[in-house]
Amino acid sequence: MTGKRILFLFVVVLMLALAACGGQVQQAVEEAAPTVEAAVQEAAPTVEAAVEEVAPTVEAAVEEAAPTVEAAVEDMADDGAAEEEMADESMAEGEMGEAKYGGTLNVAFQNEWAGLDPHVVSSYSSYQILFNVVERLTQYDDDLNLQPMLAESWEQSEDGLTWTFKLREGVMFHNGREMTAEDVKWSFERLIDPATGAGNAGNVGPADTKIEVIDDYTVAITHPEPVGILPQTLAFNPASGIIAKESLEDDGTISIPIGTGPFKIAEVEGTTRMVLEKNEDYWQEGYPYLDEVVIEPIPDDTVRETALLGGEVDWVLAIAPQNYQSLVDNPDIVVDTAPQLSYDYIGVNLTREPFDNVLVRQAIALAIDRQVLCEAGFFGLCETIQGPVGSGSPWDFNYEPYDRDVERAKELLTEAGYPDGFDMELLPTTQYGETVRAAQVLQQQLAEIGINATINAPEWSEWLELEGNFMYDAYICNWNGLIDADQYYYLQHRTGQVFNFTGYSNPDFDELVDAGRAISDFDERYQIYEQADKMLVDDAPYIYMYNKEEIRAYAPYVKGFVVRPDQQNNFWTVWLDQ
Amino acid sequence: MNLQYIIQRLISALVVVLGVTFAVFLIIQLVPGDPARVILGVQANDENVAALRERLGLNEPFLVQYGTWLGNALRGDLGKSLITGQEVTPQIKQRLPATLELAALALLIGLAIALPAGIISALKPGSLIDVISSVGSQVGVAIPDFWLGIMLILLFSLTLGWLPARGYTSFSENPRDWLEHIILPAVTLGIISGAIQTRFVRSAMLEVLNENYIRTAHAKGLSERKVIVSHALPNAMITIVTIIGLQITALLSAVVVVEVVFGWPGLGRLALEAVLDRDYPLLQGTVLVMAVLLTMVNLGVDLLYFVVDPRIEYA
Repeated sequence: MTGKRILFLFVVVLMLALAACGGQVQQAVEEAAPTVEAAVQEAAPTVEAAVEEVAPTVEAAVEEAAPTVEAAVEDMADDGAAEEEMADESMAEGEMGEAKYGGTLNVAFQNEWAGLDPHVVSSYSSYQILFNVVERLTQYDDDLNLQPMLAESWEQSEDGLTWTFKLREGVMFHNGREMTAEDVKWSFERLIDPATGAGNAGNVGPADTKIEVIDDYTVAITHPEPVGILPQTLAFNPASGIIAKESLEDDGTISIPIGTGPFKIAEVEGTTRMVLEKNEDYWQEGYPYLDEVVIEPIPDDTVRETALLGGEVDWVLAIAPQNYQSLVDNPDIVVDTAPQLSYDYIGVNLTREPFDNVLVRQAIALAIDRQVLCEAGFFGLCETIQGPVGSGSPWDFNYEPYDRDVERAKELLTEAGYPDGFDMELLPTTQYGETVRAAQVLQQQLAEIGINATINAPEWSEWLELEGNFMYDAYICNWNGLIDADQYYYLQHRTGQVFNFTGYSNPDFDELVDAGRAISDFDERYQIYEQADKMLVDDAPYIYMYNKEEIRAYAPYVKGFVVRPDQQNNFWTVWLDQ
Repeated sequence: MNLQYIIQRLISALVVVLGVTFAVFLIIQLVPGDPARVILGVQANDENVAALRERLGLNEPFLVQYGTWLGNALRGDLGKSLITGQEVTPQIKQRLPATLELAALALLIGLAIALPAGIISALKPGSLIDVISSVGSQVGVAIPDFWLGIMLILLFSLTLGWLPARGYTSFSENPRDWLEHIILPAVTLGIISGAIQTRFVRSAMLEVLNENYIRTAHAKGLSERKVIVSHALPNAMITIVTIIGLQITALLSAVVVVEVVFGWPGLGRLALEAVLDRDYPLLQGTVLVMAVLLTMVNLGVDLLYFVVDPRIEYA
């Protein structure tokens, strides 16, 4: 026989062997499955019982603490009293003598940053860098309590129209100059200037907001209508950060912002590499510990994780949820989680039939199985939700009218005039793989009530184009970085607001959310938003699916990192135990 | 070869480059997707998109935009990235060497595989070596490059821990590091390139080996080695040089995928990002540089023919 024939026969035999073994492997798995299932089921009641035992004690403790916490929050929100005591407390932790100074932290992001002008950009990667470079007047700490930052204190005028902020003295910009009220004025005015085109201008106020310099360290902000939550909105994101006007280039753009933060931008190589250097004159004594943070985006999940496992990077931003377990089991990697205070959702186009009919939207909300969506979308690392706010937030209203009921869903559809269902298109995006996975499961679930859904999953810029122009039936996306009630209700759902992508318009709802942001008292606001929540969930312009876990993975010598529910990554508390 | 020929070729190269940049600019404006929306992200609404487009000069008519870009480009100014605001020229300058190094090494690896495999297969058709290299090249052609890349990372980086998974160090900084980083991506590209070239080398050699003059050479009593080296190879060179020229073009496009997988900071990845972000100036700049590069390479290959085959004359 010639060489050719031998080889051919060998290949055929190999294929047959593989087919046979494949079958055997499958069989073995199938055989094992019931045993594994049984073992899990056996263990489940024990685990459940243990949790139930502990739960009442935990509940009681929380209830006891609640009024004290509430009172404290109210005090601070009212007139921003807490002074450097807060800063001192967090400093004390760092100065415990353990933390070591120096070193370079190598960080891998998932996506590239789309620009660094805090007034214009909104990409998550951009914000993560900016949170470490540019600072705001107020901030949310790791427990999501409002704290002073560049402002030491603030108070609201009698008529509620003016907030006056007293600034911290001796805060230095990265270019060596001191920050004063003039800088606050300049930054805020650029933000709210319509020509800048800033989406988050609302953090400061509408275009006719007046910003006055009272003296070098005092600035007054006056709104046309009372805004009770200005200290909160100023803390939301880097859009309201204070930057030096020397950041401006000749053509009015900013490619490297000069801020007051713990790190300054030392080197930028396009969107492939960034080096942040320690700010030696940082106003918070003792911080940061690191000399440098080097940031590189690695889009591919496998490569990013290999880089972490191989020690090429020390800290990784996004973990593919399907790899969570294997990383947790790895003793050489620390995996840290916190529930996000955000949501994955279906946004429905209320300007199109049949989605303008609330019964249709409610039918969809009743037909979906959120647990299965969570399993498919994010491999179970999520909590199902029926409204915008997840458990763990002080704004959790727990209004849940949409427990799965396929029969009722069909009834509603018939009532709406679609007894045989209808055709529609789902619009997830490949930018967020979990939305595509969820869409595939959603398609099956919708088929059960007669809705025939197709899936269109474009890449990000095309998706933005379609979603921004109401050219969709229902899109799938997620929100993150949400802390205050205002962020869950006002910007996305008030008529004509900047993030209202569904065309939802309900005057009663508008009245509620307008009132909610005009006052400061937590209890009063809670009652208002509770009503707003019920209205919004009943009307269902967004159909909420689940709230993901925020997952970070890093090497064991990385210390001091805190996973936050609002997904902020603060590197100034990080030190290397090497 | 004469001067006239070279000048003619240069002029047609210029026309090609202009045509390519025009076509790319046209296409990227026609597909859905707007850089202003990419910058603003989900915060985009009609007002701020309009304001940003105005600020970025995107509302000018298409030909005006292209003309402005071309005018500036001819003066060496490729503009600034819409997304990051950074100058395009330094970015390209910084990332071009990485791509060239990768493509060059991949080409060498491909040739190192294809030349021996192809020539030996041609000399011994039907033998075991021939069969193995045929099957090998079939498999190599079919394998997707990103899959191969990830498999190599999993094996050499994760499991064996011999090589880093990604990244780049320049040769001047640390030659050993440079080699460690470039090996896996270059091998990924090289294997597939080599697989494709093997088949062409083999058939080029086979064709030549069947010619009369080879039989004559054997009849004259020349050793096998002399026949191959002095008679067969030189005649096969034209085809082989053509293939190499085509492969360089193919490599410079395949390099995009490999650069993404390996986090290689090259021009291919830059062009891909520019497309995804609809970053017009950055895209135009990278396409211009690539187009110039490729037309020069093809010109070089054509001129190489004169060296390889003294019989060739161009009218």
